[in-house]
Amino acid sequence: MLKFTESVDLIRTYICDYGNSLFHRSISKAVSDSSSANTPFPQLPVIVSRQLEYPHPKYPPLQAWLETLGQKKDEKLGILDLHPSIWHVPPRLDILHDNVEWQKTYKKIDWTYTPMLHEYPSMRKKPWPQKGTGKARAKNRWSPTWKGGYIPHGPKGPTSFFYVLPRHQRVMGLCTALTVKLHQNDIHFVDSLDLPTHEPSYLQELSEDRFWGPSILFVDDTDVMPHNIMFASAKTEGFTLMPVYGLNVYSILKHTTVVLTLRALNKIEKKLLHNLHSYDTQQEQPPPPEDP
Amino acid sequence: MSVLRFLKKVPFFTPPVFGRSLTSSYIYRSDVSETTPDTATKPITDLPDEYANANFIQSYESTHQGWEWVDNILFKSIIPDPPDHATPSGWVPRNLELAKQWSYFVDRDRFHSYGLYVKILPVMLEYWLHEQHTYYLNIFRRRVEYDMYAQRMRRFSLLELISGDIWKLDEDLKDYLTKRVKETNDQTKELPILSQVDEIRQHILIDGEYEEWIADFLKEKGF
Repeated sequence: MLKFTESVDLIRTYICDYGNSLFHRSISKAVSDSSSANTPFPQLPVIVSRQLEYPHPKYPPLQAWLETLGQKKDEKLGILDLHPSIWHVPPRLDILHDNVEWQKTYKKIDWTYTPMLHEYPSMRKKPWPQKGTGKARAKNRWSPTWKGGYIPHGPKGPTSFFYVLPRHQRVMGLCTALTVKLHQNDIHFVDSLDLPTHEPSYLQELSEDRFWGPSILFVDDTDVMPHNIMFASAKTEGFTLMPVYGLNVYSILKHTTVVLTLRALNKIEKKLLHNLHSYDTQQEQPPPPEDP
Repeated sequence: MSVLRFLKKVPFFTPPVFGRSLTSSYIYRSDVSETTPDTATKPITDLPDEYANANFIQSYESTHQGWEWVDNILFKSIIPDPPDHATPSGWVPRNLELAKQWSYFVDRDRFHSYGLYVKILPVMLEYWLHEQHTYYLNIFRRRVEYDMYAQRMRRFSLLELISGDIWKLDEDLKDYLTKRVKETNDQTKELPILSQVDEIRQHILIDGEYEEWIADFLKEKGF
């Protein structure tokens, strides 16, 4: 039977790793060691220490609550350390604007097309003789001055507005969006997206109690989501499920609140820090090794 | 024949010759024969039997030794940590104890260098818009502004990666640069030193080329 301090140290060492399913096992172990065995979560909040790569020279890690979706009552599971290079970045509004404009524009294709004179019907007869009639001189029926005539220098064919924003701007856009959300209290960290029921009313009431906005973006590690949250968010307008690879500045700003799981947070931090501190060229460079 | 070549008079200036030529100087070597070998001219069937039954490479042995030589050539995306001491190129490591006391902080980029850049912009001497010669061109159906008569190119020094009290940094930087300018009595540098502070982009733009002095300022502060 472990003492309380020893169990806390054990939990701390477990979560020094990338807090995966080990987290639940460690919590249940702490629970079994402590007296109360019926409650699914421990009574006291547990300090969760995360090892951060590339520590910032000046700013210490930020802290945020770790919450649950497993019960309606808002009980905090612990405190998370957040990397200041991602979560404490100066609010670059110009980069946010660039990212949002890019996301809107790069998919745009302008399909307008005005045919040239040679693409019009092939009747090239002079409507009336040059002189004699009191009418204005006319060479062909589809002159630009005539009704139904061709448009000179008009739009020609599908034009694409595709361009790719530089990698650094996209990375800083994500960092800025996340800092802005954090400092406006619109980000919440959650251990996982497991719900007790598939009823949408459970999630709706939970979000109303906790004052989570009308639109919520749930971000998880992989694109395979638990069944319950899938059914709950499908029926609710404004609740979006998203894997980490789909995270973008427009969605972060569009949804009022953003709910990240611990696994998603680890993955996002790892990827963003790798992009901020490495030299990946445009050649086919293998991506950093991912955890299974 | 080779001896004659060695004694032949060579002019004082020999133009560069690519490839071998008859007039080029030749150092006599005993181990290399002048005539072309038979293996280069004769077909393999005319060669003696020793050449035909030569033992070429038939097998190989794989080892794990010498990987360091291969690893040295491979491209790596991870940037190594810098040394703790100053290097002969003038690079100086960060002094965090000194840097933490100021109300502002200038970070370094991923290559451990300052965010100091030169910005060169074409500038018109005309102030009024209707006097400027700006033309619009249609390139791929997009309007592109083209400055045909930019009279001069203006050089700015740009300092990025700033956080904290940016106005205090601007003050300190300008004081330092004016002090430096007065010491050197350089005619190209003009006083007062003009700067532009962009709070949203968190950078300072200084009119003129002061990169080295700004680097000295940052080294003094310990950034």
